[in-house]
Amino acid sequence: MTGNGRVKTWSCPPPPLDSTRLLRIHKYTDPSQVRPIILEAAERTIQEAARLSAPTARYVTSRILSLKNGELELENGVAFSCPAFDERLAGCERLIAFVMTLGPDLDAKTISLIEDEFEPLDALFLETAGWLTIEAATRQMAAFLRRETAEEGWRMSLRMGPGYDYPQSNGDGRVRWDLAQQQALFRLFDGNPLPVTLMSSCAMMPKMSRSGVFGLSPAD
Amino acid sequence: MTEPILQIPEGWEGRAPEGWEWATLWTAVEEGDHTYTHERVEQAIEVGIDPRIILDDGLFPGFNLQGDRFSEQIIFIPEMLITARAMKAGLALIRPLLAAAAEKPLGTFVMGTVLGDMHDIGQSIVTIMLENAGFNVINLGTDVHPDKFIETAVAEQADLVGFSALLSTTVYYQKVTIEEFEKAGHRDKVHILIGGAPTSQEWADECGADGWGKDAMEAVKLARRLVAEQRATWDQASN
Repeated sequence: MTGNGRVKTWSCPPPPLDSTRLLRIHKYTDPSQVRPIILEAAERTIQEAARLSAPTARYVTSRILSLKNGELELENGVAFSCPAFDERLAGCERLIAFVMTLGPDLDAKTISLIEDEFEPLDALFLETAGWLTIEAATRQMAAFLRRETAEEGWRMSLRMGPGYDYPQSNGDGRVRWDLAQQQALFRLFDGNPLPVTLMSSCAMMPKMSRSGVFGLSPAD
Repeated sequence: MTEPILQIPEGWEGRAPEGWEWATLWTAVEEGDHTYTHERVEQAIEVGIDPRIILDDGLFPGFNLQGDRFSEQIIFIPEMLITARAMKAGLALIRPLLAAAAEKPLGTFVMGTVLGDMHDIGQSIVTIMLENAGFNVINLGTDVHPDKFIETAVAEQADLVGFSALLSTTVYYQKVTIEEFEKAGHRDKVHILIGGAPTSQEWADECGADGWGKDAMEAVKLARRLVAEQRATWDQASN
């Protein structure tokens, strides 16, 4: 972990992937029944994903001023709104916001595989490998933050993110944290340079990027 | 589950030079041998076989067989993509000849991922399958604003428009985009198809789409059916 001021940087080497998992996502439950050409493509793209991925994240911690009726107000004037906050961030006094990316190379290669090289199978597998990589990297970062904050006496909540649905404990279906609040999440970084660009549509570039928050409540 | 069988085009011998055989090409497309597919289509052109016949008698049987296997879940998307690559190797040689012979595509299809969604691969796969099936596809890419869909559909006189969304966070924009087509007065001029992981027939009904492609091959079948129905309506009207 490095960083200046409030915004900190985390990075890790690309987490190792298993081709069996990639194949399972594409419905191949028994690798011995998979055609060699597909097995080879899976192995090849997993190595390619590792070569093209550079997981890195920026994160920032803010003090929670109030949380009531799904309205979350932070110290720096940023506010979020989602009915799921009351339950999922109950007791939290701090909020860690993060953005993570694998960088632009994997996206560029995936597009090139379709548009220039016409290798659609490799493109499909590379995108899947990218997804597996960013999921694994996000878990690694969460584990790191959990350890780091535990040392400071905090317990970290599960991850939440704008645009995602959350079940309500009263059984009243699911509620969504509006995707448009990505804008507010990015404002928490005070204009610091980020490896991820937020588009006006709230999509992130590079495509293999994640954003979200973790709540921190006192461990006792 | 029934194992689909190769549908051999009836009377193909009468449409090919004496001694010609297509079986090796059917197998090549089925197995995804793009090198042989290219070679054999080249040979077919050299001996003077009509490009439409090369497509119908030479390329489609293997492609359709794999499509049927995919529908039966005997094979999955990766195998379809291997076949698609071989198909494209042959089509690349034939398409200019078809165009020169003024053969019209099955229809024009404007494709893209909705606003806020950067996922490319799903709609790229659908594009490949539609092109292989004979559609002219205009792929607008990802994060496409509703106005861009409308503008392109109008300019290209599209028969069909397809919105892909891979995220539960962006699927809502399929509905928004359809509403924008209505506001623009262009809704009844195109068939709108939706697809993507978080979508369903129920969602297609709710957002007012004309159809839902649960996967790339279903999207192709649906597009073919909608275009055929449209043509039949025109034919009836003109008679």
